[in-house]
Amino acid sequence: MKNNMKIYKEITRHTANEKFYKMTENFGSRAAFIFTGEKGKAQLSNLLNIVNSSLKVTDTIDYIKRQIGHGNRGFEKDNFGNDLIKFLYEDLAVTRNAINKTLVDLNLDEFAQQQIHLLICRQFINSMVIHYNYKLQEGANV
Amino acid sequence: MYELTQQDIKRLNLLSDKELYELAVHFVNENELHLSKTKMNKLKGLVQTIAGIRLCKAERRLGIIINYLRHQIQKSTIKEDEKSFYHNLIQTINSDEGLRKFLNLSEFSDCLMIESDSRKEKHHKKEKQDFYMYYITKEFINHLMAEKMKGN
Repeated sequence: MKNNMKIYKEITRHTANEKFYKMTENFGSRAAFIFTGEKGKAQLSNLLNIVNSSLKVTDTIDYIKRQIGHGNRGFEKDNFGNDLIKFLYEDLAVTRNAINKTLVDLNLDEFAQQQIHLLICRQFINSMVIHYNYKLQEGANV
Repeated sequence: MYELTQQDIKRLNLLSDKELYELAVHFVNENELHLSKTKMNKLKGLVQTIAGIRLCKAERRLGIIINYLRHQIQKSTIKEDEKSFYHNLIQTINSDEGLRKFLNLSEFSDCLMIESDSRKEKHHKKEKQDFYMYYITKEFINHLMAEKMKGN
């Protein structure tokens, strides 16, 4: 329990920094240009459901890949899907490694590291969708 | 019939994220062969349907997938690219250098048979091995189809 608290604390510390926030804002703004209308909203809502219910990072990655493959779901536009895959799989793995380094005294196993990666991905997609909704509303009010 | 434990699921999910995903991406990059969207959806659908069938032995589930792939190869209307793709996929699933190598990992050593095992233990370990192998194949094909769909 104590270890879990330490892990959550460290994840919050890494996902609350400015760089992480800017990235969620960046992806959220791009999404607002691409995913317009009810169909667009449904796409991001589905992505949010997948990331919050999946047990593996690659479940989300596979979902994005399949949506890119459909060719009319929005993820293929402006290389958005590919950039998102790269960010979730590679860039957030760097964040996960940084968290592991700070928690070296806990001697985390590979499963714990996988869960940390998943939690960061959830945090990222959740924040991105918040930015997306905000930008969408902002655009509607102009 | 063997049923996966929470520990098994944890180990297999980790393997899927860590190794099988990379292997599937590598497979697609190595085999730049065209597969139509319909064929991809059929294979993906088959894997999903089998996963949903209860009371079906893992050995049988894996058999259905392999039989489907073999049947596709034997079709007279199949294109060369598709034939090679299915052939390479069967090779990867069945060969010791392919997916079977993961059964030798220390995480899955509890399913490896040893000389001193009784008949009952051997039977239990065989069931366990089949279940692991089926789950590994299912995850691999899921990653493979997603990667392939992205590229199409």
